[in-house]
Amino acid sequence: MMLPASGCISVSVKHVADERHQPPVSDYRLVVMAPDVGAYMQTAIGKLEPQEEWTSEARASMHAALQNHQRTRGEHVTVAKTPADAGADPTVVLELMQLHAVVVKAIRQHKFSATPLPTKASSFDWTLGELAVSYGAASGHDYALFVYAHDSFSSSGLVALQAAGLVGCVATSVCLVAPGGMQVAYASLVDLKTGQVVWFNLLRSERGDIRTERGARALVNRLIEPMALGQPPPRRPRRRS
Amino acid sequence: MMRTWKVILIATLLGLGGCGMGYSLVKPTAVKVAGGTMEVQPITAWNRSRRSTLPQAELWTRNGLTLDSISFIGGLRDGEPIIEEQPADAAPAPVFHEAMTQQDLVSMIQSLYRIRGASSFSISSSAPVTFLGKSGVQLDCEFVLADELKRRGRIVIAVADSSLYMISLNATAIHYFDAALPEFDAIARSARILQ
Repeated sequence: MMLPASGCISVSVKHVADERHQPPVSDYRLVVMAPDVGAYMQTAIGKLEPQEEWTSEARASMHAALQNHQRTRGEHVTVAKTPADAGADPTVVLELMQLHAVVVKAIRQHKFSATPLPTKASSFDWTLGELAVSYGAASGHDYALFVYAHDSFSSSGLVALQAAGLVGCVATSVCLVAPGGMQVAYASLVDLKTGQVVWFNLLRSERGDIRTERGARALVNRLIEPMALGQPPPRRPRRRS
Repeated sequence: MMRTWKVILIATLLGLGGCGMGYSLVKPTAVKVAGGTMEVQPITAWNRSRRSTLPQAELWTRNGLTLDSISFIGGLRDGEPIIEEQPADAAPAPVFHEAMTQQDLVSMIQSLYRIRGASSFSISSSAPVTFLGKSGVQLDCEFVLADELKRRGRIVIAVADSSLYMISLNATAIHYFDAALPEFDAIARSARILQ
């Protein structure tokens, strides 16, 4: 079996946004919906096996990192741990989260892969519709931020396979090293006044560890920082008279 | 991965492939569909899947196949299956017969959805309709896919000149079905058979 060569650690971050939307700088209420967090072991044959203990650690680290990050914004921010924490009927919140997950599949397929939709070539206009608007009215939030972070780590078998590949590199100058674990994460901002997804950031990284506080903090910074929500606009230099 | 594939399969109910395909623009003008067997007039622009495994079938979407899709099938003759069989199908593809009654057509549609992995499938209404100038039937249905999100569907179907013609809308019950329904109804009303 030929394995793809892997010579360096890569990190890719790409975001899309509704250009008509102006992010608010103050006086907004934001809810971070219960993040979808998972941690897996990647076996030598490439299978991802869910790890309950790692996932619990990653959930706790991501929750702390999101709270710390949003605290620096100084606005009214709620970081929900479960749908019941999101300030409205949990059934409605769950439906909203399920719809959002399907909308994200469409965004990833048509904005981040090779199958763009011609009608959306120059626009970004997916929506969660009236359900998001009614949720915003019921909960009193202006924005909902959806966060997904899944991380995988090489099993001992995969590490052995990678080591054998590296030995082959030295011996034959042909590098065929099995790819290892990967972080895949996204953040998606929904305007609860309109229901529109106004900003979406997708991150893929071969480094980091969301099970640790430091790793989760680094991921949250890379994921959410480009959104610039709650950051004051850059000051314009004053003209000298 | 299997869950995703099943969702795309049901979203492509007429046997059109879901993965790795491209789309072309459908402009809001009179346009031939389903292998040139029908002409319809959309009100807004849509995206047409480039890949079709049945020559008489065609699939459009506005926001992505897992959110909304309009399927067209036209000129299907006696003995022909209404979808191409897929390895993941639970049973053989339903076959159209010109002697089918309206009840037979309804049963065929039910089989189609179930074969393609729809669970909790139910028909909420069934009513006679004029489609392509012929007496047909309009079905409204609800179902759930592997992603556990409820979908709604509207199917308009008629037999003309011993051939089957069908247009269907499938979309998420939250927002996307209601958003596409007025245009779907207008497209169905505008449909005409091309000789």
